[in-house]
Amino acid sequence: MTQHFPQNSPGLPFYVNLWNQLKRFPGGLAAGAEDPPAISGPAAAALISAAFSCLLAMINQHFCSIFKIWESLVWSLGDWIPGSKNPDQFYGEIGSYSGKETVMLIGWLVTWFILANLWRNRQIKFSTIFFCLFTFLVAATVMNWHPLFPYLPLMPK
Amino acid sequence: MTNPTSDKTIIQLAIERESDRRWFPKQAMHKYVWVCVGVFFLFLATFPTAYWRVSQSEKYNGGPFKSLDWEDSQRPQMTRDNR
Repeated sequence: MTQHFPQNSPGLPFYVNLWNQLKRFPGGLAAGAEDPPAISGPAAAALISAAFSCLLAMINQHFCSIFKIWESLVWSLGDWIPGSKNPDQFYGEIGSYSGKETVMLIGWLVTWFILANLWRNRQIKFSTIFFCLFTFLVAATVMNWHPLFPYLPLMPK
Repeated sequence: MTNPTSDKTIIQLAIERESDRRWFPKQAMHKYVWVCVGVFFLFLATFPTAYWRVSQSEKYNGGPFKSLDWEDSQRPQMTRDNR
Protein backbone atom coordinates (compact mmCIF):
# COMPACT_ATOMS: atom_id res chain seq x y z
CA MET A 1 0.00 0.00 0.00
CA THR A 2 2.24 2.77 -1.21
CA GLN A 3 1.11 6.37 -1.02
CA HIS A 4 1.40 8.44 -4.17
CA PHE A 5 2.01 12.12 -3.71
CA PRO A 6 0.94 14.58 -6.40
CA GLN A 7 3.48 15.50 -9.02
CA ASN A 8 4.53 19.04 -9.85
CA SER A 9 2.15 21.01 -11.97
CA PRO A 10 2.98 24.27 -13.78
CA GLY A 11 -0.44 25.66 -12.90
CA LEU A 12 0.15 25.45 -9.14
CA PRO A 13 1.88 28.09 -7.01
CA PHE A 14 5.59 27.49 -6.43
CA TYR A 15 5.12 26.81 -2.72
CA VAL A 16 2.66 24.02 -3.46
CA ASN A 17 5.17 22.43 -5.85
CA LEU A 18 7.92 22.93 -3.28
CA TRP A 19 5.83 21.26 -0.61
CA ASN A 20 5.00 18.38 -2.95
CA GLN A 21 8.70 17.91 -3.58
CA LEU A 22 9.45 17.95 0.15
CA LYS A 23 6.77 15.32 0.71
CA ARG A 24 8.59 13.01 -1.68
CA PHE A 25 11.92 13.46 0.09
CA PRO A 26 13.66 11.22 0.89
CA GLY A 27 12.44 8.92 -1.85
CA GLY A 28 12.68 5.75 0.21
CA LEU A 29 10.36 7.09 2.88
CA ALA A 30 7.95 8.63 0.39
CA ALA A 31 7.59 5.33 -1.47
CA GLY A 32 6.69 3.54 1.74
CA ALA A 33 7.25 -0.07 2.69
CA GLU A 34 6.53 -2.84 0.22
CA ASP A 35 4.82 -4.84 2.91
CA PRO A 36 3.43 -2.34 5.45
CA PRO A 37 1.90 -3.59 8.69
CA ALA A 38 -1.83 -4.21 8.51
CA ILE A 39 -2.46 -3.51 12.20
CA SER A 40 -1.54 -0.55 14.36
CA GLY A 41 -1.01 -2.39 17.66
CA PRO A 42 2.81 -2.63 17.64
CA ALA A 43 3.19 1.01 16.58
CA ALA A 44 0.68 2.10 19.22
CA ALA A 45 2.61 0.17 21.85
CA ALA A 46 5.87 1.91 20.90
CA LEU A 47 4.29 5.38 20.93
CA ILE A 48 2.18 5.05 24.05
CA SER A 49 4.92 3.39 26.10
CA ALA A 50 7.25 6.33 25.42
CA ALA A 51 4.61 8.87 26.48
CA PHE A 52 3.70 6.80 29.52
CA SER A 53 7.33 6.71 30.63
CA CYS A 54 7.32 10.54 30.62
CA LEU A 55 4.33 10.52 32.96
CA LEU A 56 5.94 7.83 35.10
CA ALA A 57 9.10 9.94 35.38
CA MET A 58 7.10 12.90 36.66
CA ILE A 59 5.11 10.79 39.13
CA ASN A 60 8.40 9.42 40.40
CA GLN A 61 9.77 12.96 40.59
CA HIS A 62 6.89 13.97 42.86
CA PHE A 63 7.40 10.93 45.06
CA CYS A 64 11.09 11.78 45.33
CA SER A 65 10.27 15.35 46.35
CA ILE A 66 7.85 14.22 49.05
CA PHE A 67 9.67 11.15 50.42
CA LYS A 68 13.43 11.52 50.89
CA ILE A 69 13.77 7.78 51.59
CA TRP A 70 12.27 7.07 48.21
CA GLU A 71 14.68 9.53 46.60
CA SER A 72 17.72 7.80 48.12
CA LEU A 73 16.34 4.46 46.95
CA VAL A 74 15.89 5.82 43.44
CA TRP A 75 19.36 7.36 43.52
CA SER A 76 20.86 3.97 44.33
CA LEU A 77 19.23 2.66 41.15
CA GLY A 78 21.21 5.23 39.17
CA ASP A 79 24.59 4.22 40.56
CA TRP A 80 25.46 2.52 37.29
CA ILE A 81 25.69 5.89 35.53
CA PRO A 82 29.20 7.37 35.78
CA GLY A 83 29.11 10.60 37.80
CA SER A 84 25.97 9.66 39.68
CA LYS A 85 27.90 10.25 42.90
CA ASN A 86 31.07 12.31 42.94
CA PRO A 87 32.64 13.96 45.99
CA ASP A 88 34.61 16.38 43.78
CA GLN A 89 32.81 19.70 44.21
CA PHE A 90 34.34 21.18 41.09
CA TYR A 91 32.88 18.63 38.73
CA GLY A 92 29.88 17.91 40.92
CA GLU A 93 27.58 14.94 40.54
CA ILE A 94 24.44 14.04 38.66
CA GLY A 95 22.61 13.28 41.87
CA SER A 96 19.31 11.45 42.18
CA TYR A 97 18.47 12.53 38.63
CA SER A 98 20.52 9.52 37.49
CA GLY A 99 18.12 7.20 39.33
CA LYS A 100 15.07 9.06 38.04
CA GLU A 101 16.26 8.59 34.48
CA THR A 102 16.87 4.92 35.23
CA VAL A 103 13.31 4.54 36.51
CA MET A 104 12.06 6.20 33.34
CA LEU A 105 14.18 3.93 31.16
CA ILE A 106 13.01 0.77 32.92
CA GLY A 107 9.41 1.98 32.91
CA TRP A 108 9.56 2.68 29.18
CA LEU A 109 11.03 -0.70 28.26
CA VAL A 110 8.73 -2.69 30.56
CA THR A 111 5.63 -0.82 29.35
CA TRP A 112 6.67 -1.27 25.75
CA PHE A 113 7.21 -5.00 26.28
CA ILE A 114 3.83 -5.45 27.97
CA LEU A 115 1.85 -3.37 25.47
CA ALA A 116 3.60 -4.90 22.47
CA ASN A 117 2.60 -8.36 23.68
CA LEU A 118 -0.95 -7.31 24.51
CA TRP A 119 -1.51 -5.50 21.21
CA ARG A 120 0.49 -7.77 18.93
CA ASN A 121 -2.50 -8.67 16.80
CA ARG A 122 -4.86 -5.85 17.63
CA GLN A 123 -6.00 -2.80 15.74
CA ILE A 124 -5.73 0.23 18.03
CA LYS A 125 -7.89 3.16 17.00
CA PHE A 126 -6.15 6.41 16.12
CA SER A 127 -8.31 8.30 18.62
CA THR A 128 -7.14 5.97 21.41
CA ILE A 129 -3.49 6.49 20.51
CA PHE A 130 -3.95 10.25 20.27
CA PHE A 131 -5.84 10.42 23.58
CA CYS A 132 -3.13 8.47 25.40
CA LEU A 133 -0.26 10.47 23.91
CA PHE A 134 -1.97 13.79 24.60
CA THR A 135 -3.04 12.92 28.14
CA PHE A 136 0.30 11.49 29.23
CA LEU A 137 2.41 14.26 27.74
CA VAL A 138 0.19 17.13 28.95
CA ALA A 139 -0.04 15.60 32.43
CA ALA A 140 3.75 15.19 32.56
CA THR A 141 4.22 18.81 31.47
CA VAL A 142 1.76 20.17 34.03
CA MET A 143 3.38 18.08 36.78
CA ASN A 144 6.68 19.75 35.96
CA TRP A 145 5.37 23.25 36.79
CA HIS A 146 6.39 23.93 40.40
CA PRO A 147 3.89 26.72 41.26
CA LEU A 148 1.08 24.16 41.10
CA PHE A 149 2.90 21.86 43.52
CA PRO A 150 4.39 23.77 46.47
CA TYR A 151 6.45 20.79 47.63
CA LEU A 152 8.42 20.68 44.38
CA PRO A 153 11.88 22.26 44.68
CA LEU A 154 12.82 25.16 42.45
CA MET A 155 15.89 23.34 41.21
CA PRO A 156 15.44 19.57 41.39
CA LYS A 157 18.73 17.75 41.55
CA MET B 1 -16.52 -11.91 -5.37
CA THR B 2 -19.23 -10.93 -2.91
CA ASN B 3 -19.61 -11.22 0.80
CA PRO B 4 -22.19 -13.91 1.66
CA THR B 5 -23.81 -11.71 4.31
CA SER B 6 -24.16 -8.60 2.15
CA ASP B 7 -23.87 -7.36 -1.37
CA LYS B 8 -20.67 -5.46 -0.70
CA THR B 9 -17.55 -6.64 -2.39
CA ILE B 10 -14.39 -7.28 -0.44
CA ILE B 11 -12.84 -4.20 -2.03
CA GLN B 12 -15.75 -2.04 -0.88
CA LEU B 13 -15.40 -3.38 2.63
CA ALA B 14 -11.66 -2.70 2.57
CA ILE B 15 -12.25 0.89 1.42
CA GLU B 16 -14.82 1.43 4.16
CA ARG B 17 -12.50 0.01 6.77
CA GLU B 18 -9.69 2.25 5.59
CA SER B 19 -11.87 5.34 5.64
CA ASP B 20 -13.10 4.42 9.14
CA ARG B 21 -9.54 4.16 10.32
CA ARG B 22 -8.63 7.59 8.98
CA TRP B 23 -11.82 9.31 10.05
CA PHE B 24 -11.26 11.70 12.94
CA PRO B 25 -13.81 14.51 13.16
CA LYS B 26 -12.68 18.08 13.61
CA GLN B 27 -15.14 18.43 16.46
CA ALA B 28 -13.27 15.74 18.39
CA MET B 29 -10.10 17.85 18.21
CA HIS B 30 -11.74 20.88 19.82
CA LYS B 31 -11.56 19.44 23.32
CA TYR B 32 -7.83 18.84 22.91
CA VAL B 33 -7.33 22.40 21.73
CA TRP B 34 -9.29 23.70 24.72
CA VAL B 35 -7.20 21.60 27.10
CA CYS B 36 -4.04 23.08 25.57
CA VAL B 37 -5.44 26.60 25.91
CA GLY B 38 -6.46 25.83 29.48
CA VAL B 39 -3.01 24.56 30.40
CA PHE B 40 -1.43 27.62 28.81
CA PHE B 41 -3.62 29.98 30.87
CA LEU B 42 -3.01 27.87 33.97
CA PHE B 43 0.72 28.42 33.54
CA LEU B 44 0.11 32.10 32.84
CA ALA B 45 -2.10 32.52 35.90
CA THR B 46 0.38 30.80 38.21
CA PHE B 47 3.42 32.63 36.85
CA PRO B 48 3.28 35.22 39.67
CA THR B 49 3.56 32.31 42.11
CA ALA B 50 6.70 31.16 40.34
CA TYR B 51 8.08 34.70 40.47
CA TRP B 52 7.29 34.94 44.19
CA ARG B 53 8.78 31.53 45.02
CA VAL B 54 12.02 32.32 43.25
CA SER B 55 12.26 35.73 44.93
CA GLN B 56 11.80 34.03 48.33
CA SER B 57 14.64 31.62 47.66
CA GLU B 58 17.93 32.58 49.27
CA LYS B 59 19.76 31.09 46.36
CA TYR B 60 18.61 33.92 44.15
CA ASN B 61 19.38 36.77 46.58
CA GLY B 62 15.78 37.86 46.84
CA GLY B 63 15.44 38.61 43.14
CA PRO B 64 13.39 36.79 40.55
CA PHE B 65 16.59 35.63 38.91
CA LYS B 66 20.29 35.77 39.66
CA SER B 67 22.98 37.26 37.49
CA LEU B 68 26.68 36.95 38.22
CA ASP B 69 28.53 40.23 38.44
CA TRP B 70 32.30 40.55 38.12
CA GLU B 71 32.99 39.93 41.80
CA ASP B 72 30.75 36.88 41.93
CA SER B 73 32.49 35.29 38.98
CA GLN B 74 35.89 35.84 40.63
CA ARG B 75 35.00 34.14 43.89
CA PRO B 76 37.35 31.31 44.89
CA GLN B 77 34.83 28.48 44.34
CA MET B 78 34.34 29.54 40.74
CA THR B 79 37.86 28.55 39.69
CA ARG B 80 39.40 25.13 39.86
CA ASP B 81 42.75 26.35 41.23
CA ASN B 82 41.17 27.63 44.44
CA ARG B 83 38.68 24.95 45.18
